[in-house]
Amino acid sequence: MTDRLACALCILAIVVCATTGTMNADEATLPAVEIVTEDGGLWERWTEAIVAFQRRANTEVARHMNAIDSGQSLGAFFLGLAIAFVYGVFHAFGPGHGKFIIVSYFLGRDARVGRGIVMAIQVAIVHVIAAIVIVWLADITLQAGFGIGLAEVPGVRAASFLIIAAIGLYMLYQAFRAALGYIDPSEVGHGHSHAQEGHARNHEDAHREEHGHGHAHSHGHSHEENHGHSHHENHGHSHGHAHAHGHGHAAEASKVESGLMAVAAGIVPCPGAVLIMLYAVANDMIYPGFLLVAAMSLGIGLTICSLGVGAIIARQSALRLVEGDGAGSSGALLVRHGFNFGGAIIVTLIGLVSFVAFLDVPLG
Amino acid sequence: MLRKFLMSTFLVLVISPPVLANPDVWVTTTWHFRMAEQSASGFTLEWTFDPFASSYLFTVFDADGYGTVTSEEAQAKEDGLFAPLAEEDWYLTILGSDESASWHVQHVEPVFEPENFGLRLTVSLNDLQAPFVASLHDDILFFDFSFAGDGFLTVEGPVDPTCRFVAGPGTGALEGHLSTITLRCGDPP
Repeated sequence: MTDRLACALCILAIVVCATTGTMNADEATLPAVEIVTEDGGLWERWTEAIVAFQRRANTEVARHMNAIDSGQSLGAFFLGLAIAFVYGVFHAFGPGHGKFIIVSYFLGRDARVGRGIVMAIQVAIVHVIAAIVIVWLADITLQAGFGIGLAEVPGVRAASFLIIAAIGLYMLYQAFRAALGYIDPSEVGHGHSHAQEGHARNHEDAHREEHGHGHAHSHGHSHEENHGHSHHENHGHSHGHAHAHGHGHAAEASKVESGLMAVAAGIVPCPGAVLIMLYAVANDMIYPGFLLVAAMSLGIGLTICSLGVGAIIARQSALRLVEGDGAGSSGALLVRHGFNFGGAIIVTLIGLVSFVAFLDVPLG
Repeated sequence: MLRKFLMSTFLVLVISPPVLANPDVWVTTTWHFRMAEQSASGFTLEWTFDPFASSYLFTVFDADGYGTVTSEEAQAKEDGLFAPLAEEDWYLTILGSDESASWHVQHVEPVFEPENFGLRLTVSLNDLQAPFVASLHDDILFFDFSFAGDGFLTVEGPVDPTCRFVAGPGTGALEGHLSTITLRCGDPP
């Protein structure tokens, strides 16, 4: 094996030497091209591998669409779907697709893992719808100039940034309210599944009490304040720190909030998905095109999901770490406030800075 | 276990700098240099777009929808369509030894191949002396430029025997550029 390699290198060296002489002015020739083999490092190799994979996937999706067009088997179609899905997973690794917003959002919010998954699915669905809608506007968009990107429909980006900024400001408002003691800091932003999350926690708390080491922190709000919704009967303890006050409007607001966040993050369509859709329309393959874009968006959703869920777990883990056995301690409270404010500030900044950049207004 | 996996994925993605490319348009390129010993007077660069971008571009150019692009149709569209690319200097970066290479794009021509759409750019380098570096790179990662396999680089004209073309990732000012071509002449340092 080593000998073969050495032999190949020798041949290569001879070919390289032979082709580097002075060449005839009239001929186009292949010069001695030394392909750099020294990689820039692990990071560059990783980047190149992801790019190379996507390049290949892009070609393969086109090939499978042509196979479908020429009446070949359903197998080509399903393979195309699988490739489009994986293409989406890797494609979303790059900048865009609302990942940073989702991460910031979930770092600033107490949420269950399920919420992260639901939001990722919502983002994927909005991505598909946006791609399809944008195809109808493609002439306006693209004929303005190819290099400007396919999602520069006036208003779409602006709306997305404004929604993000508005959610960020609302998160900030809630973070302030929590800091001032009007609401429980763990309640910030999501009564919604709170009802469930609260119950889960209260069960856990109750369990702790049974074992004699329950905590007894009170957040200064009685359940009478909370619309008389009593969960005591379920748990038989009175600390019930907030999680179950589950007033209906808070639940709704939270769903609306995360739904809006998903819309804001997903409404700017992926130009790659738009191009696939355009190709499908041009080749009279609207339904396969729709399914391929859906598969790609699902892949994008999976990557976003892993980030969102990762952020939720990161927040939970960090809080658990600082809370330890002394839940309710000032340190834990400080960290929770830190997350609430941090997430809110980042989301607000992303929205506002992006909007200012969209308007091309100098920042200073 | 799942928790650990998700946390790891999260950390890898979050700490990654935003250079992980997710291009939407894929372009393969060939480079044809016009040489005079240790300098280059210019090169012709051919871009070939991926099938999806090609399909779109055909649709845009073929205004009457007859499946062929007339020269009138091409002329009517190309200025407006490629103006943003021209504003970006066609994503070309060319650096000489003192980093002030003089160059300009002389001519741009759309190429309508049966399967793919292409662009042919004729670039003048004003007898740029080696060493120099030429790169195609889109900072916002909308376009990905890669070399078109074997034989992506050809030359015409006399080339000094000590000269070498090196293709690969850029360094220094061109760090992050994945497709750069460097011409080095003379004895290696």
